[in-house]
Amino acid sequence: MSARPRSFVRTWFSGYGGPLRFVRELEGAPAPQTGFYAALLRAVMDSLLLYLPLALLGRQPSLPSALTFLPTERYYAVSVFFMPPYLLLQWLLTSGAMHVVLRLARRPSDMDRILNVNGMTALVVGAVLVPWDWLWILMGWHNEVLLGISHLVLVVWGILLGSLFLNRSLGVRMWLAVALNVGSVALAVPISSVVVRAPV
Amino acid sequence: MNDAAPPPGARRARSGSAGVLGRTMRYAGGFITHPRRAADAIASDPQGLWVGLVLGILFLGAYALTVLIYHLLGHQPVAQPFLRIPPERWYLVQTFTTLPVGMAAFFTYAGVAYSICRAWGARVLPWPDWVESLRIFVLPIAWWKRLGAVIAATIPFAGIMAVFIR
Repeated sequence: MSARPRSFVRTWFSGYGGPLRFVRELEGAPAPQTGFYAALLRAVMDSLLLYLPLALLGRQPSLPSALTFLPTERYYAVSVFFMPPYLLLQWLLTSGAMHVVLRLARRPSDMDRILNVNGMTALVVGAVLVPWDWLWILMGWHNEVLLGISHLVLVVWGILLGSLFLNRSLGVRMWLAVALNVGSVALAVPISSVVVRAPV
Repeated sequence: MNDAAPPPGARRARSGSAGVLGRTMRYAGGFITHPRRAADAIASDPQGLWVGLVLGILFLGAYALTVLIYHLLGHQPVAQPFLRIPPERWYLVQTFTTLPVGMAAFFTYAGVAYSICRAWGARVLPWPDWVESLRIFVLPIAWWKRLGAVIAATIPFAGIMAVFIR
């Protein structure tokens, strides 16, 4: 394993330990490449470890698809291909929105580093969400609303990591950093409620 | 095109006489007549992002008003919508979703264009608003790279519009 993949994995796993170590590791990571690889890996994990097995098991989401071109009975199969580009676009959208708000407020900003932190926090949280979702599937808990709420609880960790990075690395005030991260979740949730269906 | 002449937006910024709305209109005209000068001007304008935001809000606000009128007149979308919203209520819903969806589409466009231009080594990068989106066309990178960035960025933009806008 070369130094770069090793440092990528080290940065990723530092997200489960000390948030300050995560910030230090990510500050030294190439930007925005690290964020891109992290967002891509998270998207591929969702696609291959969640939607593909569900499609092979012949499962259907309990909540019907809101999109006419994604039929409920084939939702998981289509999502294998649909989710990676969707999650990458969501990464770009939320990062862009954060960057624009910082620039409009005349605060220091760096799009590359915002892409890095958003991609990496998505991977840190997303890698936990996959086994979490499988736990719900295996336990037979068919409540997509509760599952969504549990996701939001886990996302708090991502908000903490992202806020700390913006504060330490970009000099953004803590209240604004938290507001930006909460805002990016608030931006993603309504779109995802239309496009994404829970795996239960 | 005379590149040596001072860019129109920069002249206004120095004079301080034109507000954001006035500059927005001037940049809009400048992008039609002198795109490179207008692009340079908006890039150096401290209020350039506000200009783009104002224009985005004006455009999307006018669009939202149009679909509200459509709803009040009893019109329904001709093309089959991708969302399961009753056709008789489509334009009413769209009245409220046009602005956030439109801004999300602009941000996504700019994000994709940014990533592609960044991967191709562009140092002067586009940023989110419709004017800055047009700025991709005059970035100092090869024309085929600009074209590729525009086409790639338009695909998700069009996808979002296709789902949410009629």
